[in-house]
Amino acid sequence: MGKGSGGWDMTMKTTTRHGLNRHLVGLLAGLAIASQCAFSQQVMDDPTQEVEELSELSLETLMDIDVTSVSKKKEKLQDAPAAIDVLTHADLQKSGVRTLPEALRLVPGVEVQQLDRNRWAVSIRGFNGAFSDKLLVLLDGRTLYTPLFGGTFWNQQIVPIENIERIEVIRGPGATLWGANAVNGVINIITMNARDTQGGLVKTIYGTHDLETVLRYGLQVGEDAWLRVHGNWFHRDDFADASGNDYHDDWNAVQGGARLDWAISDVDSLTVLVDGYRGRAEQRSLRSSLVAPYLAAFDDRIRIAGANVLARWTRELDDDGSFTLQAYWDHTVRKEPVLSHRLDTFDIDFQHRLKLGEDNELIWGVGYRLLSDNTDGSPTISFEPAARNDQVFSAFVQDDLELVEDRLHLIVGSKFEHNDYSGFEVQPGLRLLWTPSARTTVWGAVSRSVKVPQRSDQDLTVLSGTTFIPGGPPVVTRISSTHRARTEEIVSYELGWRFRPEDNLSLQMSLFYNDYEHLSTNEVGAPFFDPGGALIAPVTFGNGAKGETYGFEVSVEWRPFPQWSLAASYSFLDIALHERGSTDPLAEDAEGASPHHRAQLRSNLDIADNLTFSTLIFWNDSIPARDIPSLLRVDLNLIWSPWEDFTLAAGVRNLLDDRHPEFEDILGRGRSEVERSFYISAEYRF
Amino acid sequence: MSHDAPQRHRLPTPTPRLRILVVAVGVWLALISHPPTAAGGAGVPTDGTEGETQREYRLKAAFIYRICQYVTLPSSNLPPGSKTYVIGLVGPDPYGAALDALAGKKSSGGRVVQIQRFRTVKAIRNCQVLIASPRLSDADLRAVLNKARAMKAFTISDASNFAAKGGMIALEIRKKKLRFDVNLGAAKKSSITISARLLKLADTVIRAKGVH
Repeated sequence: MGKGSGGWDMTMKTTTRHGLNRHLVGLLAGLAIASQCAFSQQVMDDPTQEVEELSELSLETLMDIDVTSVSKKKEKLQDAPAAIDVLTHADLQKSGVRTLPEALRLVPGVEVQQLDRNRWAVSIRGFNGAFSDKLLVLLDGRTLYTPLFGGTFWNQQIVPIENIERIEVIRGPGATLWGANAVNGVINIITMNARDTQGGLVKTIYGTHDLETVLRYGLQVGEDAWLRVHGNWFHRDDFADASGNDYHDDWNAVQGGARLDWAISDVDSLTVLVDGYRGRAEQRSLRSSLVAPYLAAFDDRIRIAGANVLARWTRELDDDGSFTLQAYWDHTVRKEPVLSHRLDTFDIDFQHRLKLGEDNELIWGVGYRLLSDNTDGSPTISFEPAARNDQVFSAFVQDDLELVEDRLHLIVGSKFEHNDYSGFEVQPGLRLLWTPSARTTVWGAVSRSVKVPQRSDQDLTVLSGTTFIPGGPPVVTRISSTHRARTEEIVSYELGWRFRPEDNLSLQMSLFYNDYEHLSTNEVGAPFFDPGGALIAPVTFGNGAKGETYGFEVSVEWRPFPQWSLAASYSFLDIALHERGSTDPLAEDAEGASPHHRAQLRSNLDIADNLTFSTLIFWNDSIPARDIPSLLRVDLNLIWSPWEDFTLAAGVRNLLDDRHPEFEDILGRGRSEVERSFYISAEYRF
Repeated sequence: MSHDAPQRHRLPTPTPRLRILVVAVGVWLALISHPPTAAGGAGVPTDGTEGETQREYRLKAAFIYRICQYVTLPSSNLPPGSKTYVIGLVGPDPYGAALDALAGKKSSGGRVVQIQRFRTVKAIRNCQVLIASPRLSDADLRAVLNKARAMKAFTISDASNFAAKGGMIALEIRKKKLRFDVNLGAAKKSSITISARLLKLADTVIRAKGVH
């Protein structure tokens, strides 16, 4: 929903272009120091970690590794020409997180600010908000964003953390391969292969704000077929407002699913996923109306439900190629008191990877998506037409050309897409990957991506706020997106560097500059009186802003001893927006809606064979546009396995204060504060 | 919850910590006195040949773990309720810590992998997988295979011609890559099933019942 309108203060631009130069110099100096430092140190070997990583690879991959240079090929990440980070299963288990947004908080450079107990603002490289719309989120290949506004309803995405194998996060545009909305980043959540979750698991969590039970069982159902079924129930208790009263934002859900992994033949494999959930989330809402009292607060109950089925068939071809055919159907229901939404998504994708020569690899694919939805609105919010069928046709091609053997790759490609809102879209990208040594990777990229208009950009009518002027009539803002909103366009320039001086030390840096055109704005028209006594301020969507963002992310992973691992990161972001003939008082609001500085430190210490202590420290700068002071947050977890199959854990989240606000909803629903919470958990495997 | 990265070592004594601290301070001082001139990628840390051997065995350890997931053992060796999956190594040990790194990982049946080392043939205890050291004499190797057959354990080794000598899977380095041969007859004799997927990847599959 673009940007709302209301009475927020404008933010000053605090950083100039000179800032960029200064940061660049700092970055280069840091780069040089780090590389020197690495060469001066003694080689520290960590066989445990290396075998750990190798044993995650397939037999085919292992057989492809040159025994004299294992470390060269074992890490595909090292060769990725993008700012990519991966959270592993072990990272997640040790962190004690229970929800996807909390897991994403662990990834360097991802902006996660909790709005209330069941809502989060999640973004990468700016433009954060409850309705942030420039991020593509996938779970096992299924797109999670809602076509209503192009963002993700996080309280509708339920996965037991125990089932997640890894979360890959690409900061920056991923549009060439992934498509529209992968403007500022791609989040790819991958659950474990059923073969790796054999046997039973019972886990229960009891805490001041969490009650949760996870049941899972995996079995072999054929010579090369494995099946897993799981169930999950949780209740997450309310946070409080600034004075300590219940905010009425609790969240309950029950979820279940199954996964089948079947190696049909030597070259064919099939994965089938089934998932279903039903739940309830409480939310405070502030509703405007054209009759007295014109504005009122409600504690809403939102019903969520959904079911989906996905099947993926992969065939390995001779000559190192492969193809994948994937189809899914996803049904979601969301019932808010003022708006109900039912959505059916049918999606089919085909992808083919082939070698065109010794030094040339081509990937191409085609896809089709049908979105069929039905809304049931109210005087507060409605969509016209109420029901809609939309189709998206897409194709992509990407070629990886090895210009200099083992040293220099050129990756060029484009996504082509046709959608019912903006028509034909092209999103090309060009990447250069230089690996001067097996341990150093330098990459650069220029890409164009788009954020296509969503349903909310063209079909929405909403009473988005009421302003009371002393002595005057109440002013109700009414957004009607009758205007055909345009596509937002982004050209990104990126530079990255990855370096692994030792087996136990790795560094990553990325630098970016994004140029945005036609950013969505709210255009205010001439006010007029409504028969109900209110003055209506009519707002339509426009594309009256442009802007630039730039910044960098630095992260270090270090394992000084086999028992102790550390991950630290820092990111800097600056946003400069410029209204271009827009009447939107908030056209430049996003400038102050993301912190400039963000840092985190994670430590996992294995005190004994069966005892692990993890510390998570997050820090971010203030968020002036949302009146949020700078935040320091510490989470601690202690994990103890008294017996092989039995694990106990205890932890505290937000140790340092009773409660603090992390963000504020632009719709002005008041604010919920994140409270300190404690939990204990027990897990039994059989 | 720390199943994924079990550690068998105690915390290091303060001495190495102190040494690292001293090294770090030294590096820092060196940097201050010699300002860096190049930005990254100025050279490659060299890998000695001893490093290569270590690497080879790390790869082999990971490979053995992966292979075990495609091998089904008879219930006489692996009763349905059992919770551990013992990988034993008999004879002189070239794997070292690489093999220990597998301990605590899960087998395909959800059991916890344990590592045991048997110095002599006599010392061999009940286990699911028996890795024969490449440095065993032929006579010892025969004895090991007899013992393995008696307890219906899966046998794997990088000893030369291991498959031909009656072992189930022989690891070989060919053209600097890891390859393997399968003796299906030997596996069948111990009621062990080897997945078709694995057979497809093998260089050679000995199907005859010929076991020496």
